[in-house]
Parts: sequence; structure tokens; C-alpha cells
Amino acid sequence: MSEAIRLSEYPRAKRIDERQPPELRFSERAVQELERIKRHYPNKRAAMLPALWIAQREYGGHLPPEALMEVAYRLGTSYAVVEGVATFYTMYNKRPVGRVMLEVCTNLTCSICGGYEILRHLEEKLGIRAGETTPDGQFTLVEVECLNDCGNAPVMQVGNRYFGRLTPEKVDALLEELKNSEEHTVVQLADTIVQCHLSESERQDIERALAKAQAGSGGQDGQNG
Amino acid sequence: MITQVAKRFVKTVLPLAQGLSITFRHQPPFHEPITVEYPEQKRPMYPRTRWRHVLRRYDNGLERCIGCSLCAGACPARCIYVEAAENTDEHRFSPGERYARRYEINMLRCIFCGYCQEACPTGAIVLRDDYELADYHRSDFIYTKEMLLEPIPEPQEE
Amino acid sequence: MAEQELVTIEINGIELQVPKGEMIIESAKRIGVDIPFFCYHPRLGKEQAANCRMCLVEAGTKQPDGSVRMMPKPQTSCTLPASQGLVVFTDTVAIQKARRGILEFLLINHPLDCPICDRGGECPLQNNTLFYGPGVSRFVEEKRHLPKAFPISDYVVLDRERCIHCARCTRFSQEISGDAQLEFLKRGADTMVSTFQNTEFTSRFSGNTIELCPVGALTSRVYRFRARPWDMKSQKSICTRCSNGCNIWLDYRPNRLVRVLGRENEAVNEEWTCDRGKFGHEYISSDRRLLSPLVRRDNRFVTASWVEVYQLIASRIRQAVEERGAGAVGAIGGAHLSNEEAYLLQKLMRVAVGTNNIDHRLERNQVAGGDTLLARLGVPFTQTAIADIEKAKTIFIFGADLVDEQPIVFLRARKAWFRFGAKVIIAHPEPTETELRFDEPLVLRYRAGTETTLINGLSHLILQSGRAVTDGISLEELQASLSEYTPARVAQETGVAEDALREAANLLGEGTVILCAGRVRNHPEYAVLANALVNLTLLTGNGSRGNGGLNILLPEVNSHGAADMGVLPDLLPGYVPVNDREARERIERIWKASLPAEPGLSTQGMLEAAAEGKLQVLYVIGEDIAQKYHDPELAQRALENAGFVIVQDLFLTDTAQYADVVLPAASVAEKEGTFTNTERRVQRFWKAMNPPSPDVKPDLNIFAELAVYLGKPLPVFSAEQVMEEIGQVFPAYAECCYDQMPAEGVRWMPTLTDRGK
Repeated sequence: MSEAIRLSEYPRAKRIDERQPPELRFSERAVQELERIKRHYPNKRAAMLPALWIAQREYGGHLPPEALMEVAYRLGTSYAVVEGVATFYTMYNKRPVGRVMLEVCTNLTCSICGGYEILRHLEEKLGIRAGETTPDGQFTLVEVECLNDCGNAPVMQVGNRYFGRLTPEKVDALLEELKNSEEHTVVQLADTIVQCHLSESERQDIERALAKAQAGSGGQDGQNG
Repeated sequence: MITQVAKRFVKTVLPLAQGLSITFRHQPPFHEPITVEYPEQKRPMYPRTRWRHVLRRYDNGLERCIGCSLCAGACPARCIYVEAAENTDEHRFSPGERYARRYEINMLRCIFCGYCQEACPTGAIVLRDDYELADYHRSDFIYTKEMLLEPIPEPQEE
Repeated sequence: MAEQELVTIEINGIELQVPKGEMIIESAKRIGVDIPFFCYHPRLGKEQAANCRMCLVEAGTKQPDGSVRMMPKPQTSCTLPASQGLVVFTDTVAIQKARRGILEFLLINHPLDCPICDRGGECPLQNNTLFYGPGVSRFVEEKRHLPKAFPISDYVVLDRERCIHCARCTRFSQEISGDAQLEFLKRGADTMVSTFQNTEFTSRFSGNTIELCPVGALTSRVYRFRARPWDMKSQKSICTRCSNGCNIWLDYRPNRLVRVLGRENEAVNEEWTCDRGKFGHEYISSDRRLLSPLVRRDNRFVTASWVEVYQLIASRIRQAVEERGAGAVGAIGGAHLSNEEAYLLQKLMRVAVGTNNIDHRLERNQVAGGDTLLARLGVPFTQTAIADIEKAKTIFIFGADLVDEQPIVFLRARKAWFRFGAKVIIAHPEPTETELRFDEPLVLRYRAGTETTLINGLSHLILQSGRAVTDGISLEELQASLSEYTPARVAQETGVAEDALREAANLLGEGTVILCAGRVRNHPEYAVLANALVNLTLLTGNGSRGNGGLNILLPEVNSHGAADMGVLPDLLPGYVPVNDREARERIERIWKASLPAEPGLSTQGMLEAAAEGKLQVLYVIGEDIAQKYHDPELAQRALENAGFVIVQDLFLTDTAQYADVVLPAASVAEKEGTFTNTERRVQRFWKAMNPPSPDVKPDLNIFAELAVYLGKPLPVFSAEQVMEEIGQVFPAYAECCYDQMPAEGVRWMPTLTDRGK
């Protein structure tokens, strides 16, 4: 028939069968949260940003393709649309990150007050460059633009907290603290943002539903046992 | 009367002599011959003479032609046929993605206007000074890519 | 449209009246003012994207005192609705400067590889730059570099360097085809079009994005480097890959089809094509086409001349008729022939051979005496025009994966839902792609085999609800016959939840379009199911009024035409029963021949007879029955046991392997004629190329010449002449004369007179 088309350098693209639902890994809590958040919007797709935050939390701090597929499936939209949204916003991590993310501002005010020194110091201390993760998976160092806290320059965002008026000494102490702390992790940041999307009553609702499900499944287990 | 005859003589013969003097001045003892013994001798061509087409190559031997068909589009006689195909790393004919798999010029149709040369974005097709294009069969006037392509240049001596 | 409010606007000093709210870019077209654009496309989206900024105009409004108050900044004319007193200037110095600036920006990152780009020569970016752009660029730095020619499917190649981010392709995939497989990733200078994780672009309509792309970012992998626009010629044609009858352009170089483009026809395909249509015509220029007639000698095919094969065929047919009667000859095929050819085929069989053994149907639906729909609804197969599907209130897709089977009908159905808010019910035993293309349709997942129960159950619910319409139907009788289909029982049998059944029944009503395809035609009890569907249609008041209706969509390009032309064992052209003496005599007078009065054998009957060795000559035209018959084993047995098999096709198909004589036929690009699509629209196609060999003939010529050898010449000189005769025999086709046919084709309307009464 026709001449074979020589685009041989490229392997044939992987094909995804959209009719097969992707593997679902959201926890019961995540499902409950997404259920509530969806009700805030006129259509399901509008809940994409909080849904991605839930996914970022559920998938341990970043969004692998499977996470995007799960969000797309749960919102009834196509995989590509979710990927488009996720790649548009910088706070969704598309690649694996460390347990804690150190985001150092080097915008105008911070750089005048020593933002770059802080960054260099961190690079030296952690032995990585900005944008990289330490080999032990503890820290990811990122250079970011204005964090809107110029009064406390130089500023660094760690998870859900800002640390201002930094000096190298302060940073050292902070690092030690963070190493042993469960606070301010990437996952925790995602959770904080998810909780911002829920009202107090909704949060209580979820707790009740989870407790009920727990009791129900516990009861069943008991029966089975 | 005699003066009249003399006048008429001068009037007729002098221009003749003048004319012939030009003729004689261009004759061998006074002037090099202009005609050349054609098949043995060839007159040098002007640098911008437009005769037989040549498809040029780069110094590294790759074809310049990328099969873009712009020459065919520019050709007022519609005598160029180009069929392009895709280069691969194993079979590379030209730099880039595309090369001409078939490149044919119908020399019977060609009017040697040189528009193809002008249209060519890579300077691949040029009209050179080979004017000996006569042949015995119509089909022989379809010049294929193999006939048109320059030989691969010899590697330059250091 | 008639009562639309008109407003007076002024473009470049010319006053004109346009419908209120019309975008200025459209209004400008009315007076021939050219506004350049990239991202604007009238069919895309409820709203335009306005992200290329190429269509900027200066606009202002007329004040009561007559002065004009200009808007402070230029406006995008593709999103500027016409309003009373709007004043627009499209060619001011500021606008010219803006256009130059926009183009310079676009060209910063656009590679200048036009000579090797497949879009070069028909590229809006090239054209706009030539007309409106700057001569030179001030950008001397390195351009953006990304992988070139990255194939994202078997059909589409993506070159991200060339992309100008107009969002046409992403909007198409989200709004028209609905698969949303293309999307912009990242942002700012990194923005790029991509599929999810660079996986395969599996959309059934991916070819349209190639046509939409205003640069060469999305190009066709099939057409890649085959030709430049000035190398080829175009001919108008009709797609032959399904019964939707899309209008296409065939672009060809000398004896080589290089590509297919969508051709505009508002009534059928708007301007879209499916991938099967766009990339599925490669067969026309295949190397494996038959180039001369073949005759089987010593179990091998040898080439033969046409005279030889005609004589052989004629002698075998004559012998069969003499020995066993005309009933020992049968012909199968016609769904791939043009109307003219199908007509001539049945005339050849009926007049020259004298048999009614002729059929084009390969599916199980081989109901005698015309379809149930013809008897009860007055239409052979479809009630709704394709264009009217978008006016539907509810679309009931029953047992069909429309995306796959009827792509263009699917696009209309999706448009009805997306643009006009129609409700969608999808009933299918398995998950289909179609379901994914609508947002939460009502899905009835019934068990295969319970189709009739489901439909009767819905009818029952509608009867109960009291919304049933008495439209040529006796409610009492129906009530009695449907009383056993209680929702509970139907739910139990079909496996569809009772609530879903009730919801579906509530949605069904006037303006419901029922779309069925292969699964219904191949249903083991087709007649019963069709009857149930007709009941449902009549009960919902879609019998004759409105845009709603029942549509049993057909499989092949000219399935409808073949039925119209009487390629049926019991119906003459125009659905005239062969045993209706009066009507038959009318046709006999036109044909000046006597016709057999007994209905012949259907495809099933012929194949069964052939398998038993009762059929002496089997003539198969353009159908690969050994593969495509619903019961391939029967077809293969029949082909083995038939006395003499003639196969007329483009290729040496599996069926042709059984043949004694193989006749090479011309493809659609090499002949002219008309096809009737599934909505009864008769559309013309033209000859583009010459056949691959002089020995390849259009089917029309083969039938006409064969008739000569059979001693009953059917004088034919052209398809046009045949169409004139068809118009006499079947008055509904009288408007289809070539010189009168409008560009969008003729949708013939069934009336009772069509049955010859």
C-alpha cells in the first residue's frame, strides 16, 4: 500500500484505553473531602484545583501521572485537561520532591536583604543546587519569586509556614529542627490547603462519616472473624 | 565629363573599399579567427549562462535539495516533478527532515528561464553551462535526479 | 432566524445591517473586508478564544450627537458583538502596526522551515505575514527548540516548535469531538500542546486538528512530504467509508491520491471528517489494485481480456438459465456501488438475466417486503436529517457506539448536547467510547439480547405516564400487548435499574431522536425489535411531526441508495413490490422489457442455495462476503459450492479467492455518480483520476457491456443518463438530475406515491 512513513526515531506512543478506569488510590477521607468540595461548584470540573491538592497529599507530595488520571476519572474529565491544569500551576509538584520543601525567595526585597546568601548557604549546607532534592529525600531546595512577605525579608517558605528575617545561623538551626520535626512537610501543606476548602461543619461531617464507616467495617470484620 | 566619371567611380568604389577593408582587417593575417571548430573546440561560456540543470551538494556530500517543490511551483513550463520523502539517520540524503526521492526535469519543456534556481531556498538547483542537450529519444529528455546530481566531491587534500 | 433583531453598524465607513450579537469578524466578511485571524473558527466553541490577537480592529460607538466615541484600545473582532451604532475600522495605521507587531511576535519562535513544512503554501501564517506582516524580524537570538516532527499517533505528527498557541486543536478536541485529548501544558514561553503524558492521540477525529492548525504544528503522518499544495489537483467527492456521506476533497498528483480534506456541507458534515474518512482512502492508490480481469485456469488466476471474460460469463449465465432457469443466477452487492451502478446492476439481473435474485444486505436484517419502518413510518430507514439532530430535545442512542459506527452523526449528536443542551440517553450492553464523550449521560446498561424488552418497557412507562400520543397508533391494542412489560420485570430482565428506566422514559418525548446502528440491524429478531422501536417513536409523538424520529443508520456508503434502486429481491426501484402487477407494469413500460414477478432470494437465501449447490452463477459485486457477511462460514461454503463465481472488486479479496472470474473495478476517485447517504441525501461525486490501468473499468461500464454480451443491451453512455432514467422510474429521484442538483445534494422526501401507487 502506501509508503511506510519513516518516523522511526520515535517509538510508538503508548495508548491509554479511556474506557478502563485508572487505578484508584484515594483514601476514604480523600473521597469524602472531594465529595464535599465538588458540591461547592456548579460543575465537577471546577473542583479541579482542590482535587489536585487532595491528590498531591494522597500521593505523598507530588502528582505522578497516576494521580492526574485518578483526578480526571473522579471529576469525569479527560486526562489531558487535568495535566494541563496541573502543569500550569507551579505549586503542584510534577516530579517527586523531598519530605520538606525549602522555597527561598530571591525577589527584589529578599535579594537586597540577602536572599541569595541564604540560598547559597542552603546549597552548601545541603550539598545540592536549587531545584534539587537531597539524596536522603529529606529536603528539596527551590528558588521562588515574591512570597508577599517583604517586611520580613529574606523569607523562606517551608511547607505551610513562612520563616522571615533569615540569617545563615537561623537557617542552620531551622534545618536541624525540620529534620526531626513532622511539621511543615509538603504533604502537610497540601492538607492545609485542602482543609481551607472545607467549612468547619463539613470537616465534622467527614469525621462522622469516617467514624461510621470505620465502625461499620469494624463490625463486619468482627462478624467475619 | 571625366570629372563626372571619376566622381561616380569614387562614389561607388570608395565605400566598397571601405567596407572590404573592415572585412580584411578581420581576416587571419590581421585578426584571430572568430569561429571555433565546435566539437573539438569549445567557446568559454559567460558565468551566468543558463543551460543544463545541476543539483548541487554540500561539501560533506549531502544533497542540497530538500524536495520542497518550490522549483516546480515556480516553473512556468511546469516541467519539474518532485517527490519528497523523509530522511532517517540510516538513510540520510540531505540535512534536515526531507529530501527529494524523485526529481525529474522534462528538458523538452524547459525554457531555461532560471526561475527554479531563483526559487530554490537552498541553492540546490542551478543552471550551468552544459549546453549539449541533444538526444535521440523523447524519453531521454526526462532528466532524473541521478542524472542531475553533482558527483560527491572528492575529500579535500590538506 | 427570521425574527432576529438587526442592528446598523459601520465598518470602514460602510453602513450595514447585521443580526444583533454577530461577531464583527463575520460582519466584515459580508462586505468583503478582510480581517486576518488565526484562532478564530466559526464552528469552534460557544465563545471564541481570542488568543491570537490577529483580528484586532479599532471600534467605537456613535454618540447621540453624531460623534464617535472610540474605545481606548483595539478590540478583537472575533469577540466583538455587533450592537447598534458600532463603528469599526479595520485598516487604520494603529491596526496595521498592531498586526505587524503580533506577527513579529508569533515569528519570534516560529521556525522558518517553510520549504519542508507540509503546511507551506496553504499556511495562514505565511499568508498573513505576506499581507500584513513585517518584512524583517528584529529578533536575532536563538529560537525556542523542541523535538521536531514528534508523532503523537499513526496519523498526526506534532511539531511543537511551529505551534503559535492558537488553541484551535485543543478547542476542537474539547468542544467538537469531545475527547479533550489535546491540551496546553505548562505556561508562558513553555506552553506546548500535548496529549496526556505524550500518549497516543486516539481521537477518532484527530485528522480535523490537522486541517484546523493554522501553521504546520499538527501535520498528517500519512500525507507527510507527499506533495506541496501547488503539486496537486483537487476534486469534489464523497467519502465512502460509512453511510454518513461526508463531503470531501480528493487531492491527487498524477495517478496518486495524496490526501483527503473535509469539504463543507452544512447539511451533512459541516466541514469535519472522521479519521477513517480522512486516512482511509489510501486503498485508491494501492499497489495491490487489480489491473486486469483474471480468469481461473488450473486453479490459478491468469490475466484475460475483457472480451474473453465477458464471453465466458455470458455463456455460463446462459447455460445456467437454460439448465436450471433464471433462478439459478444470483447477484450480491450494491452497497458500495453508486446509485447509477446499483440501478443498472438490478436492471441487468432483472432484464438481461430475468431473475430477482439480487440483494445488497450483508447483515441479519433481510426483512422481505421492505422495512418495518417503511410500512409504519413511511421512511425506509431514517426519519431525521443529520442537520436536524442538533435540534433534538433528547437523543436516545440505542445499542450503537456512534463514535465508531457513525462518526459524523455522533458529532451532530454531541453538538446537540454541547451547544443546544439536548439530553442524552445511551443504551448499550457494554461501555462504549460514545458514553465518555458526553458529560454524565443517562446510561442504560442492558443485557445483550434484551433489546426488545427494554424498548417495550420504555413504551410501557410512557403509556402509563399518560404522555403517550395517539399518532396513527391504537393505544388500547398497545396497552394490551405491552401490559406485561412492567418496569419491575423489565428491570429484572434487562438489568437496568428501575429508576434509570423511569428517568429515561421521562426524557423521551416529542423531539426525541432515536439513533440505532449495526447492533439493531444485526439483531436476531430484527422485525420484532424494529416494531417495538416504531411503537416507541409513535408513542412519543415523533411519527411524522417535528425533528424527532427513529433512525436506523446504515452501514455502507450506498446502502440506502442500493435499497432505493431496488437491489432487493422483492422490491423494484422506488420500493415497488415485484408482485404488484400494476406498478411493475409501469416500470416494464419504461424499460420496454418484461420482469420476473416472483420475489427472488435474499442474500441469506442465495448463500444457502449456493451452499447446497443450487445456484449456478453467483455474481458478487464490491462486497467481501467471505469476510463481512454476518455468517462468514455460510458465505465461504456458498462460494465453494456455487457453480460459477464472478467477483467484481478493486482488490483480490478473500471472496475473490473463490472466484472463477475476477473483474477489476474502478474506485470512487475514478468514476462519477451519486451516493445516497443514510439520511436519504443524494450527493454527487466526480471523477478525479484515471484508473490505474486502462483495463480497470467503472462498474457502470461493466454492467452495460455485460448486458450487451447477454443479448439484452442496456444502452448507457454516462452516469448522468442513467440518473435521468432513475428519475422516471423512481420519481423521488427526479430532482437528482446532474444539472439541477444543488451543491448540498438532494434529500429526497418519501411520500406514498414513492411506492408506485
